[in-house]
Amino acid sequence: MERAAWDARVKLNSEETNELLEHSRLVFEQLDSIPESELDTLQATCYGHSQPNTVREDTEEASLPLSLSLGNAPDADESCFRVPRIIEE
Amino acid sequence: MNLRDITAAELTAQVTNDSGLLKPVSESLYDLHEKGRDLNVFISFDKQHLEQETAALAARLARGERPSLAGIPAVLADNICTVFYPTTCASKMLAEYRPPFSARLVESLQQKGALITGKTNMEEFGLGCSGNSSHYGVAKNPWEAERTAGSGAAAAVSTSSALLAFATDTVGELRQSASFCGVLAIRPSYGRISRSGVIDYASSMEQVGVAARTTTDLALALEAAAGPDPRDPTSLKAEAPPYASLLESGEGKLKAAVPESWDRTSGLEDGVKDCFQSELEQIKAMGIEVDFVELKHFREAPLAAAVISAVEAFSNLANMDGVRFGCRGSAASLQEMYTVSRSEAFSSKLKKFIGFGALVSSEKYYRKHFLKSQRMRTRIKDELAACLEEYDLLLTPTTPFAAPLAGGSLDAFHLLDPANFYTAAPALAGLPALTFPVYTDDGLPAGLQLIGETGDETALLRASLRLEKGRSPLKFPEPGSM
Amino acid sequence: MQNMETVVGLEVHVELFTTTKLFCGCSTAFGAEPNSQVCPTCLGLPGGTLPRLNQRAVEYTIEAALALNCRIAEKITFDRKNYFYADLPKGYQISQFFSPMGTGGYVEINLDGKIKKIGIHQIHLEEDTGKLFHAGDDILTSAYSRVDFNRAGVPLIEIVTEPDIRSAEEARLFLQRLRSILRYIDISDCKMEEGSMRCDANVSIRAAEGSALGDKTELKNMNSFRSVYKGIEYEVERQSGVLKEGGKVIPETRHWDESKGITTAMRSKFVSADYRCFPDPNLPPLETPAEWVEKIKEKIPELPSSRSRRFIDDYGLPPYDAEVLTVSRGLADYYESVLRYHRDPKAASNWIMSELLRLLNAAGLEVDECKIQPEALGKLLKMIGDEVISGKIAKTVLEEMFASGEDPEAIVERKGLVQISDESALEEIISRVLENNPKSVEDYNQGKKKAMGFLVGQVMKETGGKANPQKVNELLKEKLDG
Ligand SMILES: [Zn+2]
Repeated sequence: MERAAWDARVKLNSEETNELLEHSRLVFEQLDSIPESELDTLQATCYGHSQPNTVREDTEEASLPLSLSLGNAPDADESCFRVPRIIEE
Repeated sequence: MNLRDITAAELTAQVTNDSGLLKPVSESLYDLHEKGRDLNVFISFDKQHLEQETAALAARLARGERPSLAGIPAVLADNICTVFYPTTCASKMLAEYRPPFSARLVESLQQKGALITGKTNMEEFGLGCSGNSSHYGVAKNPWEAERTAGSGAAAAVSTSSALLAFATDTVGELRQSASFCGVLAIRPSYGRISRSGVIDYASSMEQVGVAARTTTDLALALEAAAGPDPRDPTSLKAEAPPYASLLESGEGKLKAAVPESWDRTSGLEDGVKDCFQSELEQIKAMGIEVDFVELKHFREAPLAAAVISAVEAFSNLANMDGVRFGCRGSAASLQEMYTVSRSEAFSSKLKKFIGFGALVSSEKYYRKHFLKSQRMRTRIKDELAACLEEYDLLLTPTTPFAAPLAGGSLDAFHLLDPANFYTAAPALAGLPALTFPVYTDDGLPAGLQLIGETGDETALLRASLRLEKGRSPLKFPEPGSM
Repeated sequence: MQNMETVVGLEVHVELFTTTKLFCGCSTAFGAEPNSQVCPTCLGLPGGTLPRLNQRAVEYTIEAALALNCRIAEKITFDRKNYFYADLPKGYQISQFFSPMGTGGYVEINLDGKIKKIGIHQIHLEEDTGKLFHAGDDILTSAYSRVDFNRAGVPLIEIVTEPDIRSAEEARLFLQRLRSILRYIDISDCKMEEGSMRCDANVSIRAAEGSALGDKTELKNMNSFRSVYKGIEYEVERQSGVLKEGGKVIPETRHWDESKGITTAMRSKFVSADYRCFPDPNLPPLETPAEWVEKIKEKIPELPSSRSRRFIDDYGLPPYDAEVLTVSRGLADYYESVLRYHRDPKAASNWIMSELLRLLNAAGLEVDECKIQPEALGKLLKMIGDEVISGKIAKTVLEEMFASGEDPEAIVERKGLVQISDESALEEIISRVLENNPKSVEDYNQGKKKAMGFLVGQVMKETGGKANPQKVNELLKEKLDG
């Protein structure tokens, strides 16, 4: 669970961790109660419908002006977003 | 201007005939907003913006334009992007987010002359509707302020602050809150309304739906919002039917099915149970055939939906990292910054939910639980499709309970939200579903859910109209009476 | 320690020559101001992330897969690879994890005249990341980094080989051949120095052929063919050293340091990353109908391997010549065009390989930028063949053609460079030379045959190099011996 929280980049306190473990256990129990054998032969549904994808022509469209692309940034200089140092001490 | 007893079509006709009416309309909207402030329905509402919108519409009308939704007040849930209002998803993370674009839906509504008055409150990122995770506090129910509205969108329609509300429905959020607030709502087939510009949390299930006070308004709104959009790769390619003109109640033969397991949920309130049973009697009395059918896997839907939506949310919300937009917490290094920012800006409920999404999609559980849930989804979808081949409709309550009290219990964390018992299955199957307002003996609103075949919203709207005509007019709370 | 065998597999990333990015309409052009080629999609802004698939990127990938003899997937699907990093806008990269576009192919390399097949495990399409600039000297010491997302979302193909490569030299040959194929089909410029082609290498060594593979390391940051070669060589040495001392090779990612000529280990918080790859719900499968694939196949030109074989068979060229001439499609086309004007395959090959390529290299030009049209070179070769000019003169004419693009006949005419083959004219000159050099004539008569060379040289000098050397030899011999 610690690993999962880290991979989702959220910090859970011990109360939250326990609560989540408890609820996950419930879900897993219910899932386990459904026999795997009934489902093995079924395709997984990963999409909202069965309509195939389409493609777009390779023609250029307008990009955002710099004022808008950087407009929502918590930290930026005149042309780039800025992030804290990448390597941990 | 009294917006309580007017339909969208009537209002458009009046406004088109006399654009001078736009001023009293906008004044009424402002009054309603002020009176309803305590309900916490809106996240953004700006009088000046409303005046600009009405002025722009008046100019169009003066030029002889006749847009189909002219003058109709509409609200948007705050996860539908607008250039003219912040789009917060009711999250601290996006409290300052100004999208540099508007959703395709917003463009069509504006083009059709609707007045987009404000952005409404919701659960953080639209995740569920019976909790209290909004950064702006819970939206209160216009029927009883100590109860939750589930969403500001449904509450706005219920109080006439808007004739139409657009909000997302992933596992059932819009239908559930419409049921809590006593209004109609439809979640169309998956792909019917473009998601371009909609901040969704579970892409394979999420659809934009509409809430309104009459079936005719619902049809009009759906017609304006639906249709193919090249900007959304999951948008249905088939043109949407002209719902409004196809709308007629008809007296024809209609066969409805009810899952025989409908009352097998521990969360089912007696009031809702009795109400549903007496509704079924009324429906039969209207000449609609009702059969109880075995749908073995209907009850598994909330389980599969919880797993799938959590995994997709974990991934969809990974862009909330404090780099290009949003809140940034202070931290010495990049990876630490991610965790600090997200932990400070997300509600406890959301953190746990995406933590669960990360857990259930991890190497250890991917096949065992996630893939299994996706296979369960296939089985649920197949089962519903088979049932709808034989029946015109599937009927269930919309939620097992009326609007929950906005007390401490709202903060309880549920992966398996009992509110999803009836709404998860059509969401997984991408089917259209409509909720029609009914009332418990206590006088609280509840919902009757109609599920239809994929692509056939028209059948649902027709059935809804038939229900509407067969009973006394729907009730709405007096605005400002709280 | 007995003979060790090197086992290498390569992962090659190549940026495609499309006008726009993989999932949005932003330009892919190089050299623009940072963050000026971004939009809500490639920036991962909330509400803007719906991906719209670029047709040309898909077609290029299918073309590449066919050119590498791969099987094409029946349906094109995309998956999300989830991780957090500053250059990754959405928190996931869209790639093809479960069903790559092409599988089971091969590339032929020429190992000292022997053809070896290197297996292609898979080829798939994915999006590139943004670019980081580190403040300060490098990533380790910088206080912060700056991010440019212009490259984020540019289409990349990743080509993964089987572990069939047995030396640094084979790796280099493979990369050259791969680049040559991808340039033939014109889907990328494959410039390692500019980052449009990147290569990671999985390196391991094992005791003997067929025995179990040792643990492998993954080498990154090799920015030229030379550094791939040197990096692998270094890593093989390093691993042998570790094993010789009784140590164990640690499976890890290692960074090639070009300036120091060594590899160093890179650290990470969790040893193995869990990317939780799952199908992207926003990108439904795209069908690849046989007719579409067939149409793409028709566009593929004859590729270097078969073209080289044909040059050997049809033109009787030595394998080396065939290999050099087919390295690029432009050069091979040029060669064959020249033959259309003068069908002397070996002469054309000699002149192109020795003279023309030397001039092109010195000028830093590609063959298609050359001012000498194939027809003109054909004419020049014909003039040599017909003994109109000598080979020596031809070299200066070629240089002049290269600089000015002038027709060879015009140059020869203008400068009076036509070879003197007319016997009476030559006899006259020869008599004069013999008269003026009695010493050499005497030397010759006394058996010093070397004197002949001197006399030929004198005749050539007299004629300004225009005398037909063969004729001069014949006539001199006649005179002296007669
Ligand atoms: Zn873009």
